[in-house]
Amino acid sequence: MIFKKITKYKTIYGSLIILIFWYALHFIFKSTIIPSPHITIYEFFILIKGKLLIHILVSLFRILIAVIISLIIGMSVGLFLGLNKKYDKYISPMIYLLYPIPKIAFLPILMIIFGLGNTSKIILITIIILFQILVTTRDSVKGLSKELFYSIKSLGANKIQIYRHLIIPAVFPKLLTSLRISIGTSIAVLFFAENFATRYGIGYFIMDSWARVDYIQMFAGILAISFLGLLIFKLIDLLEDKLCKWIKLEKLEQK
Amino acid sequence: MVKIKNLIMKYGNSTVIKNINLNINKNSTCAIIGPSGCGKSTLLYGIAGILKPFSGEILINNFPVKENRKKTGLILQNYGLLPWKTVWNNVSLGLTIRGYHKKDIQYNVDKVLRELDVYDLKDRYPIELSGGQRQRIAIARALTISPDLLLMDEPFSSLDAISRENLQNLILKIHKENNITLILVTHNIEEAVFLGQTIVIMGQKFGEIKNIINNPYFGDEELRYKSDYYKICMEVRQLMRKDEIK
Ligand SMILES: Nc1ncnc2c1ncn2[C@@H]1O[C@H](COP(=O)(O)OP(=O)(O)OP(=O)(O)O)[C@@H](O)[C@H]1O
Ligand SMILES: [Mg+2]
Repeated sequence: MIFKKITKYKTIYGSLIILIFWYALHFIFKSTIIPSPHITIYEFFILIKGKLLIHILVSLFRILIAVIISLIIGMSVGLFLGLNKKYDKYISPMIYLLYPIPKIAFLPILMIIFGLGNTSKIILITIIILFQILVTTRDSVKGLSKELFYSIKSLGANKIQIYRHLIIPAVFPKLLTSLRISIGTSIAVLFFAENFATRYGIGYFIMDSWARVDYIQMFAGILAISFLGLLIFKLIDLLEDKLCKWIKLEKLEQK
Repeated sequence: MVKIKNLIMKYGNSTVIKNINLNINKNSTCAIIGPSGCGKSTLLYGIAGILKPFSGEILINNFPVKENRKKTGLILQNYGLLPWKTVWNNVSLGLTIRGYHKKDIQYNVDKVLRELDVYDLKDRYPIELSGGQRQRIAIARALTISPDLLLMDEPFSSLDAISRENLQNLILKIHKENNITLILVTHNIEEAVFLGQTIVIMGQKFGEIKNIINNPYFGDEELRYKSDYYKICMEVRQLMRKDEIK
């Protein structure tokens, strides 16, 4: 019973635990480096009405564009490779070579080629998320049993209908999972990228506050990042709940 | 209705069906029985038009089969239900794909679900069903398109004896009421004898037909309780063993 309640209010529950830790650290260190949570939260709500909101929106915009581009490219290439084993054989080794490279190392090069502005930052995040989505899509298509293809073909489905009823629904939940993982990474990378040649973005905001030794503002910025993450993750959860009810049932079954 | 002439089927270089000839009459049933790996499923996929013959011909009503013939229903070895669709949406899929009107789909699907006694399950997902229920849903899905030819691949192999017999009775009833030509692949001798008007015995290797038996007792719902049933079962069993010894 208690356990059920905890899972129902798990976001609140999680926030409470983090708050307790935060207070504990605040009292242990007794330093301005770790400002007290209530002052930070108060500062957050003041700032979010003004400049912090702009910084957050700029970051969100960069992530969203990158996600959309990666989804389009990653899904099409992934579907193509998953359905055409011939090409997959030749292209996969290339992907495996490029996949593990820390793409952030390319930031200087990207900045030289694509300029210092938004483009280079968006491209950096795109190439990070892209691989994740591509490989996930390819593998989930490959994992589809031949029988499912036979069964839908025997019902008379054409190519488009096979995509609509079989391939897309099969890939979709796995795509959400890979988005969850890659968005975490992309926020972290964006934070780093926003330290260069920009005056907007949550990364800039935090490092700027740090440089000005304004720890309360810095923490308000960190709070903003974590809310940004929370928002995106909840959005993905919502999509999964609405569109992939069956996945939940399958997970229950496995327990 | 189905004529198979000098059929050879291959996967890549390996020949799986080696020169098969077979005629199946309209409104009759045919049970294909043989050991695992002898090519039963492959043959069935050929008749369904999903796999292309390497050489030879498969004719249905004197036309060469093509993919997605409108009135062929196929029920696969592992049911082939889509896990992301509810029972109702799985069963309606064939009609949706054929572009039927919403009203007609609703009417037909509800009717078939009621006939098969699974209407109460319509909002469940396949994972929430028992094996026997999944099988019924797969049958329902194949029936919505009003097939004149129904192909079944080891439909009841994973079920307990009672559910299996219930479903065998159901299939017999469907066959009789709807004038459906039925081709059934199985490796269960009792099933082949109960559901096969002709029983085709395939060989151990090379996808050849060893024997074709006519089953005069086919169609009797009480067959299982009669001694003739066991006589034919025995006959089939001996033919299969003879093949093994050779
Ligand atoms: N996609 C494939 N590629 C290559 N070989 C295959 C493929 N599918 C099946 N085979 C081979 O073809 C042969 C016949 O397979 P098939 O599935 O038709 O057998 P089956 O009689 O249905 O067996 P079972 O009773 O186990 O279902 C087997 O030896 C199998 O290994
Ligand atoms: Mg088989």
